[in-house]
Amino acid sequence: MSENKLANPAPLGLMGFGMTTVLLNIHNAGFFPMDTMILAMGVFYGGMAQIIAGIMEFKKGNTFGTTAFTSYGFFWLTLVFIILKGGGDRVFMGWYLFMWGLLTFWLWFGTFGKNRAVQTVFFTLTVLFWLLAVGHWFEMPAAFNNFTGFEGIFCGLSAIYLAAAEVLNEDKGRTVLPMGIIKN
Amino acid sequence: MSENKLANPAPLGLMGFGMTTVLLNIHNAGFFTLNDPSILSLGILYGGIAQVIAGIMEFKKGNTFGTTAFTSFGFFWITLVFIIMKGGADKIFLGWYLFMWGLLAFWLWFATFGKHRAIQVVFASVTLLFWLLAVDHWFTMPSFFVKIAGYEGILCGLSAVYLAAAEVLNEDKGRTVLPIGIIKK
Repeated sequence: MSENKLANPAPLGLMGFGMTTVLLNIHNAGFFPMDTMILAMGVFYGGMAQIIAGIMEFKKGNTFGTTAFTSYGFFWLTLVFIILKGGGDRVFMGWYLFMWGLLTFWLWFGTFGKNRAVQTVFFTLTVLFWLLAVGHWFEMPAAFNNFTGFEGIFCGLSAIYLAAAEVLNEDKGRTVLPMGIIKN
Repeated sequence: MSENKLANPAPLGLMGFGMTTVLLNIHNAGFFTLNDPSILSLGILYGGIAQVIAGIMEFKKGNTFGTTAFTSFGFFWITLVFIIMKGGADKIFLGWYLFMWGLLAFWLWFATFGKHRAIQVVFASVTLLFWLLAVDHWFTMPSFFVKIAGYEGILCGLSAVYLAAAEVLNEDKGRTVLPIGIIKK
């Protein structure tokens, strides 16, 4: 172990992303209206904590993590800004969500050499963004939007699982929570 | 030991967490109102920003557990004060918010199993605290329930204050002044 070993920032970023995603999608699934609690989580934990994790990934030399965490951190900040400003044009918001899905889609390709858990996070997040885009572009039945919410809860939980796996597996020096390492 | 040895950021983070937790839970135990500036200011600044700083320092120390825990709980305090200052949120939904923070504390608790008893007590009691508070938000509980949660939270905060003091004093004296229950391998 080198003297200047830095910590792994991914669990922090994954928790900021995952916890905020779960809570937003409990709303999307139709259980609660949009709420101050989601705005707080979006600005601080989904937003600032993820940006901090992204900047740490820069020091770690991880381009994928730098791009992903910093981008999604700013996604949350833009989303809360839009909500606080009273919302954007609905169809235009669909394009905004589509573009974030496009980022996620090509980042998903960047996960193919990693593990199954991170592939799941990026795949389900791509699906989430594009389901939300479709829900904004077209008049969809309520069941469609509820389904989107449940898909988003799953996506957020998969990030929380990966965060826990990375901390516990490093800590114990063995596989406590499997994350589907791909054998090369 | 290298010349550029970095300090141990844990006592700072533990104090930011512990002191703010004690004060918030004196409120939960029924003594003072939530909107008091002492809770709000400690939440943003000491529980919040100081803990985030400690978390970033843990990154430089190479401690993934500390990076995740301190930075996350620092932002927990900042979100909590934001919610309070905005006049609160839906009670049931806040229960889910508290439940999710408890879930983080719960799996972090598993990562303390190889460490020492004092840190295990901090994470077990903060997990219990979050989930007691979640239950109090989900259901209409009798008023003594939140008081129990409050006293439990005071113990949780004091356990973090104790651990902070132990880490500083034991390092300073080079011997065990305050025992932290090191686990023999």
